Amino acid sequence: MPDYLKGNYKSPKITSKEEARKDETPEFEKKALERLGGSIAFVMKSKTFLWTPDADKKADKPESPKA
Amino acid sequence: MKELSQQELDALAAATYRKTADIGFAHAEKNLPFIMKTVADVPVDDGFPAAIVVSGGPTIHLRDPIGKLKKHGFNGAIVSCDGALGNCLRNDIIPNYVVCVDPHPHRIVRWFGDTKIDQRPPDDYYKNQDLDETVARDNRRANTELIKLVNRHGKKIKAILATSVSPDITERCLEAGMEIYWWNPIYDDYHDPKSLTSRLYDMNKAPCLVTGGNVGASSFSFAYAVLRKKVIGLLGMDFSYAPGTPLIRTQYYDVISEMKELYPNPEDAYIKIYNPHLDETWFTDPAYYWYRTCFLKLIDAIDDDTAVHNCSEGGILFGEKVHFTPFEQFLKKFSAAPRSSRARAPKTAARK
Repeated sequence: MPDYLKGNYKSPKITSKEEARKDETPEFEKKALERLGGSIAFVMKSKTFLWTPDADKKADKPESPKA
Repeated sequence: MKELSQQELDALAAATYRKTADIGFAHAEKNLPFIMKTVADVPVDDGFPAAIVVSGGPTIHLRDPIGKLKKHGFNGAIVSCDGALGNCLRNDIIPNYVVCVDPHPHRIVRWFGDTKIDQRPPDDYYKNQDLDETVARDNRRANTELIKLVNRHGKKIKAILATSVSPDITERCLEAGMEIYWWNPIYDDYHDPKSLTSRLYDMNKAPCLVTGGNVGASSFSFAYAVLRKKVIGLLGMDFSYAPGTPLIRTQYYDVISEMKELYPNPEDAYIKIYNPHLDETWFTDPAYYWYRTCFLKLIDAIDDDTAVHNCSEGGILFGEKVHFTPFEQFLKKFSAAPRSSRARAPKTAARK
């Protein structure tokens, strides 16, 4: 094939209707899950129930050796 | 429907963060002028090791634990979730604490008796769910009665409010004479200085408490980490619906029935769970299933010297570290111990 017939540009990605629907699904699910979601966010780090920066400092401080 | 995968649970957790983070922070800014005391200032009663956490699940009606509590009495602390406050007060049980965390702008204040009910948008939330049947039966009348009850007993109840709650709740608690003790919900990684939790702490200096995703679990966290109770009894902590409950009477039915692309048949959203302690199969929805998973994570993280007794006599909260104990048995075992003192523990004594 002669070189000049080769595409010298990138064709836009053809997106089928089904693919387009797939792309929308996560967003739809996100919105749906927000309606279904819980009362408040939940994360837990290393079994810590109550956190303040002071609590961190105390946890970092090595225990003084017992006499 | 089968039990949720880890990926689905993570998606629910992420969705809950998106739903609650911005509004929670906005409410925290509005609540800032009212932050006089935090949970670090809660007087800790070391004289009695047990506490009861009262949630609003269907077993509150089905098993009548409030009636049993009234009959036998209990010397320890009673921690009520916001949704269970009305049930307690109508039965002459005055909880020591009421916990509130959900940042919804107008729904939650109803649990305290909403003095602005006429200004609220129409909302079927109370009608279609199982948390408080008195409210579900006759909304307006129940609200008026609850306003009176909360006003009568408010001074005896400490409000343990997350900074995320609507300022209407702050106003209502103050109006009823409650002392407010504040805490920040742990939304994300507090060690990241840009995290929401870290920014909240910098703003108001209130300790940050792990939530477990809902008010029942937050109440448990409070009893464990702030009150430092060694024995915690749970009531109405069901995270599910009793066998035979019509789907339309479940909390998320309206939402689920609108989600036709995810759940072409609403019943596909519900999950059946066999409870071996009861020999019964209860059913739950994705949100409540997530709550159950979060709660079991909390229980996994508690110290070995703490015992958790689920005294709900129903539901799906069971596991290796959960004693499934009939409530009257719990009361007989843990109610008789004398209250030797009401010493105040130092502020730094709270559990990490």
